[in-house]
Amino acid sequence: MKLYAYFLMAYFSLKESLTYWKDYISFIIFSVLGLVLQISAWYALYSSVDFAPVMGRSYETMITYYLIMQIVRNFTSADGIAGTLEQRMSTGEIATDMLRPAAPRGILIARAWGEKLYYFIPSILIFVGSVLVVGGIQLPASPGVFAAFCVSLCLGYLINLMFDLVMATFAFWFIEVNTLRWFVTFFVALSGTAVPLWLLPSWLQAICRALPFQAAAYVPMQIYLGSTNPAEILRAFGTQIFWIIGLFLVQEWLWRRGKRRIVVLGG
Amino acid sequence: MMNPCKRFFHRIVWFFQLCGMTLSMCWRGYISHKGWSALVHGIGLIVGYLGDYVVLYSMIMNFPGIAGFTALDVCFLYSMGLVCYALGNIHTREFWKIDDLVLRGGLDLYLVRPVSPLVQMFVRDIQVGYLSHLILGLGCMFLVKGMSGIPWDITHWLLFFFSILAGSVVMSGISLIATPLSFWWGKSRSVTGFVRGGLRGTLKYPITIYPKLIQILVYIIPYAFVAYYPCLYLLGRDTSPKAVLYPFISMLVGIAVNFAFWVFWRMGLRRYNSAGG
Repeated sequence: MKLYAYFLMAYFSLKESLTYWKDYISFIIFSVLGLVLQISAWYALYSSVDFAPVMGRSYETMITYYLIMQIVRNFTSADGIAGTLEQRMSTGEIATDMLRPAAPRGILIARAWGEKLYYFIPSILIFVGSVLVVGGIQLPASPGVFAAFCVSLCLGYLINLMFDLVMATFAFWFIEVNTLRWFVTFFVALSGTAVPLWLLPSWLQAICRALPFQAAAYVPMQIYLGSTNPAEILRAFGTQIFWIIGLFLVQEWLWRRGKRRIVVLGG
Repeated sequence: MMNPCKRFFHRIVWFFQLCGMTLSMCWRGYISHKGWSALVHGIGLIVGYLGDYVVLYSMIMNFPGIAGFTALDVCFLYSMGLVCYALGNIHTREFWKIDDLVLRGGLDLYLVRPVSPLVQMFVRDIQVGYLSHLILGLGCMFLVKGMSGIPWDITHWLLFFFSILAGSVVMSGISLIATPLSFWWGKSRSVTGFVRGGLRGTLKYPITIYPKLIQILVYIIPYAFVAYYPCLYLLGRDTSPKAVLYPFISMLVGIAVNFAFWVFWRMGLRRYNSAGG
């Protein structure tokens, strides 16, 4: 029953966003243009080396990486949860959430899913369109690799979700979590979403690999591109699960402590 | 009766006094409300944007360059874009909420007062937080200038400051131009987001790398005049006499795009029906 309630929340959040359909269509068109901008940059860079492989990766691999990364990023992203909690904390609406017969975190996640679908559906359509128009995009080496990619994608989403919940819980202490976000942005930029890790200097790669952000985005991409063998895939899953459990424990501890600090004035 | 010239002059003085007063209010509000967290927030912004520089530099360093521009040149272009973005958006933040203002009737508040709603919205939420962008952007530009070793004479310095001014005027117009669309569509965050944020990516690289369609687009939504053209002379990529004129052309483009926004805004305002109660 509760699950149905969360489903309805996600549905209404999506429906609310889709009400403004002109805005949605422009979003799809502009997403395509955004993609063209980035692909143009890669095209210009590779044309400077006559399309020879760079760091062992061809131009086709790079384009595949970039296109698939749009799907990975949109699927694994859990943005908005911290921002929503921050907003509800500052307006006092958190009190209403606490009184509802559903878990406040569940409500936040369900609403975020509505928003997520709003962005995720076009990214799939754009990818399919790009495969048809551009062509030459690498497909997974086997159905097994594709299945592993899907599993890794789901685990990546859970990592980001847990991390965003950790960030959200800081709202109990600081109310404004936006500041913390900016510090994290530095590492998110180096998670493989903007540029593959293989193009970064080795010392920076080492730092990135020690953080959870690359496990959410870069690891699924590595699996998709077939850069990992079955043993490495299992190790990658292990790393992802390690981050999920670690971050879950941290957010659970913070949530329990933070909940006691809520004071809502007014009625 | 006061002559029109004098009245116009008084109006300008009054506007700048209003800006100064609001800036002081915003600054005091920012510091007293956030205290030390304002400083931490500023540092956070610098750290966040540094990530972009690392990505950009690392990416291009693996290649000989991009359309003849080195990694350092690209960092200079990006910094110019960052500085112009900060200066050009100091007064535009209230317009970012235009969807809400139109849909919830919040615009009424500006319409019932005896001062132009446009002026009120300009000074409503002056952003002092952009100081971080300025520090980072200018710092990187000076760093790149020192590393690239291009000798700058007085012409370069004058053009440098004028380019920042012109780029900021263009950037301001770009950030505002699509906002009146909310009067027709209700929500227009995708269009405004793309114009203000999505296309902003074109500031990073030389515009010659883009397909013709995108190049036309960055002339219409004139991102090409924010950083690329004004920086050609400064980076020594075009030393012909006509390159000296680019910042001045940018200024004219900036004035034109701001004027277009004003016309568009007036048209939209005529359509506005309050939704609030």
